Order: sequence, then C-alpha cells, then structure tokens
Amino acid sequence: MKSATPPKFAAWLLYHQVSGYRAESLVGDLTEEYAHGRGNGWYWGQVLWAVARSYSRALRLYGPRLLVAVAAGWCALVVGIAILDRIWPIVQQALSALIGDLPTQRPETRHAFYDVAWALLAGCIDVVVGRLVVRIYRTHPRFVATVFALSILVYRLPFMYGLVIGAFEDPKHTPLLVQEAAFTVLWMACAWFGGLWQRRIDINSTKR
Amino acid sequence: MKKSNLLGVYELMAVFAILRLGKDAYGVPICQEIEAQSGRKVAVSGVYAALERLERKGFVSAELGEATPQRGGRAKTYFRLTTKGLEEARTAKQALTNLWQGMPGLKEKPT
Repeated sequence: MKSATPPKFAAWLLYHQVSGYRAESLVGDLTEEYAHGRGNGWYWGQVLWAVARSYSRALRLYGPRLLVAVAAGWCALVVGIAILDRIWPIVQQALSALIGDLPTQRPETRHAFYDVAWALLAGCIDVVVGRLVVRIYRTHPRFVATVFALSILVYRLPFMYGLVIGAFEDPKHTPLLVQEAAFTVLWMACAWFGGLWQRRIDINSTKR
Repeated sequence: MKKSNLLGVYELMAVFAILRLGKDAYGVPICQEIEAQSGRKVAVSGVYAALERLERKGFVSAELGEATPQRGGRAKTYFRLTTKGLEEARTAKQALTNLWQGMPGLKEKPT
C-alpha cells in the first residue's frame, strides 16, 4: 500500500472545491484509491473531473441564482467604491494629518501611501461584498467565491493589458504595472476569503 | 406498453455493479467492478453522477458507512438497489437481450 501523500495542490482542490451530491464519499473514495496505489496522473485526472463536474452541477441546478449573486455583488461593489470615492478627501485629510510628522515628505512617497490606503479600503469593501455574494448563493460557496474573484480579474484585465503594453514600451511604467497587479490580486483574495470567512462563521454557528 | 425511465449506459453499469457487489457496494468497488467488467477506465465522479440520477429516480438507496483514516476520515456511502431499481434492471436486461437477438451480425467479436 502506498504511504506517500497525494499531490498537495490536487488534494487541496479535491477537499475544497468539490461539493454537492455525496461529495464527502467521493473525496474519500479518491483518497482510498490513491492509497491503494493509483498514480499521481490518475489522481490529478480524477480530481479535475470531480471539480469540473461539481462546478457544472452547481451551474446546471442553480445557474440563475449564481448570476443573481454575482450581479448583486457587482452592484454592491460599485456602490461601495462610489461611497469610498465620495469620502476619500476626508480620509485623505485624516491620513495626511497622520503622516504629517513622518520624516519622509517626498510627494511620490505620499502618493504611494495614499494608493496603498485606497487599495486596502477597497479590499475591505471586497471582503464585505464577498460575504454578501456567498450569502446569496449558499449552494456552492467556494464556487461562487471563485467566480466572483475571477470576475474582478476579468474586469481588470483590459486595464492590466494596457499597463503591460506601456511597460514594454517604457520600462519606467513597470512599477505601476507591478503595483496594479498586486492590487488586483489583493482585491480578488479579499473577495474570495471574505466569502469563505462567512462560510467558516456559518459552520461554527452550526456546530454550536 | 409500460412507461419507463430509460437508463443511460453509466447508470446501467452502476446498477449491474451494485447487483454484483451486494452489501459491499460503495464508490471504490463499484468503479473497480465497472472497470473490470467493461474494460474501460471510469471517472469516479462520473459514476457518482450516475448514482445521483439513480437515487433521484428511486432506483437505488444510499446509506452512510464508516470513515477510515485511509479515506482521509471521509465516510463511505453504501448503495443498495431498491425494488423499483431491481425491476428496472430486469426490464433493461430483457430489452437489451431482445435487441441483441435481432442482430446476428454482432454475435461474435471480430478478430
């Protein structure tokens, strides 16, 4: 009998992305088969099939609700960013007062500081929106959280593409590209973990 | 003529595997039985999709079994054929046999 553990990422996918009909037993069966000597290639193939079927099942059974959840998430995101835009001058004044005494007063440093502050506040909005999206589509929380996070990536792609072209033409734009890529990943992660954090709270309250 | 829920190939193979395995019919042996008898590799998730359809139609019943460390602590699900499922299996077998008898050219596997 094989004592080695299955490929880590495949196991993570299996444990975290497969849900629906008898998912627990399906996960157990694949783990048992691997322990009985099936190869890594077999395991990867089965895991990818299982994830694809789990996603397609969720789409087939609850597709319209998924669209509603993602659309509601985007509406909430637009409203949240609009509010942040409106209160940003006040926030900026507060931040300005906060960093006023710091030794570094170069404009570019202050600008970068404001950018990071904006990104973090937008990330907080993403966390809340992620929770909302998963609340609307409870059937497959990880699926809807992934779809919503990917929708943020899709929204950002044209902008990122422009930055990539700009960075190729003039390397001076590379730091901006790196910064925006980091912000995109941050917002996707905030939306994703925001949804799953909600799920964790739900599980804990169910246990009690 | 009797109105019937026609079973797909995967569903039929799952039904016959459950019949052959008896009380030991859970995911792993069902897949192994299908692979051994059909000579084809199967996706475990595909077999579960067929089992879901069978359970929804009332042809199989499911019962949670034990969880073992070898399975990562995940419980087995044992499947049993219901009376309705057994009747459907008989009907399907009869239909396939009748159809087969009408095709003498396919009796032997070509070498």
